[in-house]
Amino acid sequence: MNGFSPQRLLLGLLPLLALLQGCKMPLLQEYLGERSKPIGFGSTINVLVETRKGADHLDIKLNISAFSARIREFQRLNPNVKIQARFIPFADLEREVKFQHTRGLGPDLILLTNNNALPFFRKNYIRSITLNQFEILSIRNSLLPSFMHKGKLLGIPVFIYPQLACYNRLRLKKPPENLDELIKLSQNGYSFGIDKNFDALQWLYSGLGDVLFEPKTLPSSLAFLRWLRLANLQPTISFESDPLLLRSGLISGEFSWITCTGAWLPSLEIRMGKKLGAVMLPNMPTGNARPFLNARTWLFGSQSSGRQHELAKKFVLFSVNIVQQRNMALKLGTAVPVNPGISLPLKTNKTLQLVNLAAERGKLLSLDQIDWLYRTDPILMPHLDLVISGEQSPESIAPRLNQVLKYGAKK
Amino acid sequence: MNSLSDIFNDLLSDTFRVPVLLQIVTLVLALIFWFRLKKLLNLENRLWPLEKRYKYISSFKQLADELLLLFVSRIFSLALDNLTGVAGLAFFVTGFYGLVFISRFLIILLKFYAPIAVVSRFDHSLLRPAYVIVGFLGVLSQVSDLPSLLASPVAMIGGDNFSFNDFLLLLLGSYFLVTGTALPAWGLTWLASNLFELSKPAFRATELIIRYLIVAIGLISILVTVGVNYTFLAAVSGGLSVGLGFGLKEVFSNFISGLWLLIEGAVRPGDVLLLENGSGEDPCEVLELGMRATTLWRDRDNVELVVPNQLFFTQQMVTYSGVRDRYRRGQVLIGAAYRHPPEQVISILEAVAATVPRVLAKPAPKGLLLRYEDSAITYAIRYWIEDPMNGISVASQVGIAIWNAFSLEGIEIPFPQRVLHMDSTVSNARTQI
Repeated sequence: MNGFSPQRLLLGLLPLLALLQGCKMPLLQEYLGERSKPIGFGSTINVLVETRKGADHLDIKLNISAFSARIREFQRLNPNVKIQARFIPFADLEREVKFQHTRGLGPDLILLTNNNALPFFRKNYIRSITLNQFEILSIRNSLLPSFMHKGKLLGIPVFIYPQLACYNRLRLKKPPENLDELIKLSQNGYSFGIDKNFDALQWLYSGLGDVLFEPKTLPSSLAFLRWLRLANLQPTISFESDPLLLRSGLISGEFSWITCTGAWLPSLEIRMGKKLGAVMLPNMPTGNARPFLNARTWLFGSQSSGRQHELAKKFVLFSVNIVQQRNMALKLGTAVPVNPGISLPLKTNKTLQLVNLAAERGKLLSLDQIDWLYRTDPILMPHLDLVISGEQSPESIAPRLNQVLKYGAKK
Repeated sequence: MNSLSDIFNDLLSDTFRVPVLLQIVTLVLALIFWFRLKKLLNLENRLWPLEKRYKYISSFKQLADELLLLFVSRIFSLALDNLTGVAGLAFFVTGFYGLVFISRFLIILLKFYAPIAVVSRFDHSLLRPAYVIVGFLGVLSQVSDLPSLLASPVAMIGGDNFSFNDFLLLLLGSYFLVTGTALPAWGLTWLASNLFELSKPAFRATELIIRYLIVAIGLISILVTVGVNYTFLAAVSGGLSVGLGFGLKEVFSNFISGLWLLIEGAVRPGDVLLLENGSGEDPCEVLELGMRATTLWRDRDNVELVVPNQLFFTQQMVTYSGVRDRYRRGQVLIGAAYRHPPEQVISILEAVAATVPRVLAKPAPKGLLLRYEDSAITYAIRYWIEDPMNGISVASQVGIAIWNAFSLEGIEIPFPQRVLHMDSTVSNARTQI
């Protein structure tokens, strides 16, 4: 193509684009700005942040904003450290870690939405961490066993998110305080959405008198299955496996009440405003509901250089120090800090009071237990579906479910 | 969200991790091992079985060392993976090298079936830059979050945010459209030529039209994909109109002339024509009809003339390959003495011309008596040739053949002679002369 040399066209396009009206180059500006910052050799740490199952766009945005604020605060005090954070959906996290690990570029830090660290440890993606006697004071003693495996500390918790119930104040004046009320309200036409993943249903399972994680006791799932069947017979109670459907249902008004966690509250508050109400899960025949707790947990990558590991540890300890924990707890208002030295204004902040109480009643699983639970979940689900859909009776499914739930035998 | 500086710092930090260093060392060891093995086997220089019988073997032989390197590096990477479970970067490097190797193989194969010039241009202008870009983006995808980087805003033009992705599409898409469409256009034209039995010039004109069409549609698609808004396009068009009115007038005029010539078919690649000025008696072959200018080739001195397209609109041209046919009529003038009968001379001329290899038998050469000159009768032998570019060389051959035939037949080619008479009364006449 004579007279139309492609190389010249390419060169010509650059100045043309730059000269055209109102031209701004944010990436270039950012690059030039970044170049002026002194970054020490090997002072970059990579962080992979798991986004919660069922997180929507706003949730992720809020999460990024909160995390970026924490990074900025850390870099203000440590200007020579660079932190690169990537937010990965929970379903893609393990694949992403594997991808990076097989290239020798595994992350220096992983921030999980729970303490399910064992799958990463088994595949050598993470390493254990040692804390000295002063560092360990930043974490409540009662929490630490849930992060230990064979005497090694595999992760460090940063915040605890309890399971709650969220409801629409305009539609439901008084949320159900127990399971009977829940059934009655549903019969009166109020719609309820319940997360049917087994880890999210544990408050029902244990609350109905069944026992889990007792190696010597065979679980009895009958009461639990009968209630599931009873609930599903109500036309306004729905069981959803995708938490996103529950959230969007509450926002759109499809549901009046749903099971939720403290982590959802900030984005639900933005979307629903004063219509949003949060309460404890309904009481059980055996007493208060005792759901599992989710702990945001830091894990340390196994491939970090010595300096990167030290910097990663510094950043993690920064995130659990008393000032950061207090500031973040007040800012989030929906999570319980792990540092024992913090006193929060529980009397004036109702949400904080609620999540604090829920965290006290809830149960944080050990690494082995949560690992077992997440591996068992996919096996359990078809059985639960058979009961919920009415294809099988609770009596016929209970023995099979009990066999699956034999914790000691599976270990 | 990562920026380029972040990625660079990240890369620096990670390079000195033990697993990364191990992979680099493994690849270096593979390279050293390959170098030794290559010298030992000497694959490219030795004679291969059946090489003499099959031309393919000798053509593909040049890839032997590259294939060996691919195998060696892959085996070393697999060994590292088995030992440590960490060889992703080494696999990426060997995978990318494998991709390059396959494309080298295909290029050699293509050269057997498509014009070498087109394939070479495709290789140099498209494939090789593509390796660099794919390699660069590939490395970025290994060490950082490429989708985030591509989605990050890079410029704001006309109120629209353009991401790195848009920018790459605009820049590289345009480049690859312009450079990479030659081979597909040739392929489509080849199909069309099989269907419609196109002549050589029509083939080249069709090829160019198809290419321009692909480029135009592609550029519009890129602009639509990038999401350039219509107001902005209108503003750019307005700016271009002003530019066209002043500096770009000639360029635009030449471009339109080129398109018109292609559509009209008055000047097509492969045509042979004489320009009114400049190239004298030598015809030129049209090599390429470009967007701004046409490239002509002149056989005499093997030069390429770049003629602005507009010139074909303003000047008269002589073409030998117009609508009727591509034959050119040549003529050689010769003088014969008065004593030879014209019928004899004409029959010799016609017979001689018919024996020259590149002179066509049909229409048959035609001898003519043109004039009675002072010292000779001037005859012309007119003949037809197939390739208009061979006019001078065929005329030379015909002239030589006539001279030989006249010598054989005793026909004199007279020429004016001057007789000097020396005056003996002038004593120093000889000296004066």
